[in-house]
Amino acid sequence: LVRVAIADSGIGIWDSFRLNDSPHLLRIRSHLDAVQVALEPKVSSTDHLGFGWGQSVNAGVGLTLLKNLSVLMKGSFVLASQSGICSLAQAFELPDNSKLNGTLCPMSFQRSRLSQFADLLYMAKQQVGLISTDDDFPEMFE
Amino acid sequence: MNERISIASEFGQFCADGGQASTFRLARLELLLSTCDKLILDFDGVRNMNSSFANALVAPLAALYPDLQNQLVFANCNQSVRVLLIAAVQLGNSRNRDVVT
Repeated sequence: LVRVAIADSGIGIWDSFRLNDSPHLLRIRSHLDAVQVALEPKVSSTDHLGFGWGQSVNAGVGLTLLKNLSVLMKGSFVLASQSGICSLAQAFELPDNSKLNGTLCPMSFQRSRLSQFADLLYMAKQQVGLISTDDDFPEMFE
Repeated sequence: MNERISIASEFGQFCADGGQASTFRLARLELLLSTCDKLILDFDGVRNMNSSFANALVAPLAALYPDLQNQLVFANCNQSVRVLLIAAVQLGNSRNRDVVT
């Protein structure tokens, strides 16, 4: 197995939705809700901010992409933020006295699948709608 | 008038900082797109890029400039960079449609 983990000590996912006054807050009542909403494709705490005049350029697909990639690579995936934890198999809330300060995302991939990594990454991107085959703008490339 | 910018000269061979890309877009690219006929972003020497960088660099331009496809050119992209730039243009176009509708 190849194991990778990304962690931060920030405010966590729920507070990030709160900080940006996200409309997704209507669906969030717990840290677990926040983690599960964050794993939906094209959801981010800033996706309601039009980037034509603001700063948001977040497609909201990074976490979903990693989760799908972990499945395609026959590995594992966990997203934990404060007391909310979601893996490929289960989702649950930790007791308050053992919550994580920040966000943690450990994942693993089968080493035997590494040779297919580029193709599987492309497939995962298609699954989350990051890449469409409708138009690849050939006129923009030289 | 055409303008060519080397992305590797600005950001190196690994482009991964969306904040830097956003600042660069606002400070340089939007101005150039308003003043030159064709803007060429040359990715020669860029080995890899993440989607945050590509989206910050390109997606807002696609949302702001409806004629972007005739004004902006990506040169010397490797396959992984090309895929991310296509996705960024698609993201910008979809946001543009969202604003219009």
